[in-house]
Amino acid sequence: MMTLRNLITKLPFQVLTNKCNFDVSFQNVYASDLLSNALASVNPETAWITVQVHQNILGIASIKQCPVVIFSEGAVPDDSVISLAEEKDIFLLTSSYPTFELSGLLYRLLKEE
Amino acid sequence: MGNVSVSELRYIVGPSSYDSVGSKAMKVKKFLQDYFPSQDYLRRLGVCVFEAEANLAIHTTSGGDLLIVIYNNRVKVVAQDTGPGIPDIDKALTPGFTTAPEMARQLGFGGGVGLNNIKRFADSFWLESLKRGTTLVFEVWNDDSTQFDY
Repeated sequence: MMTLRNLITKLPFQVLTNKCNFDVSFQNVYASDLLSNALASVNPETAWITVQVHQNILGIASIKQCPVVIFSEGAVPDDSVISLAEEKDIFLLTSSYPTFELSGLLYRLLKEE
Repeated sequence: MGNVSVSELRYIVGPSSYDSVGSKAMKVKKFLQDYFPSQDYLRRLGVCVFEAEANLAIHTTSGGDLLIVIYNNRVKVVAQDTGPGIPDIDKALTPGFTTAPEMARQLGFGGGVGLNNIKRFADSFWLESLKRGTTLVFEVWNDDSTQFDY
């Protein structure tokens, strides 16, 4: 179990959403840019890594109650997507790490928890 | 089986309306929160409606219709369109096979597992396609009974 607070103190993430509840936590991480794969696999305990920044990702996160979406490769969505995420209590973070490295770093962090 | 209450939702999905894919699934989930308190059930249903919505947006030439019927402890979804139809249903059901246009794929749609996701998360699945159109019907049950009662 990893809280957002813990996460952002350990890795250099940019938090994109305002009014972030840093007590939100996740137990596992799923990385995919294919929407159907993410739709089938993320859940309320998952942080989802993707480079997709369009608003459909919020539909997936909302339907599956996935609390955190992490963009890799420094991807940043439009302001409208960020506002919508704030409305839906979905937290958006971005990182300049490529997906592979980001996944590895998060994997190690979660194992250490 | 008593306790019959039927309610209906209907949405129109436009062709290539990629931007709004997921919006109907979110509305359905929100509406059904009063009927079904199980979050697990609502997530399962949400996945199926999202995929049906995505298919209408990606593959139809003039859009399609999404009908959601709530009865007893179940939800039935009918996704219908008028074309262009699926030439080979077995192929369409093969994981990874896709005919989605490049534009949709760039957005992360068209992974070729949408119908498989519906099959996996729904309790019944029926798909028929003619040159003129395609009809997909599936049900997601909030109970463990295995027989139809309508």
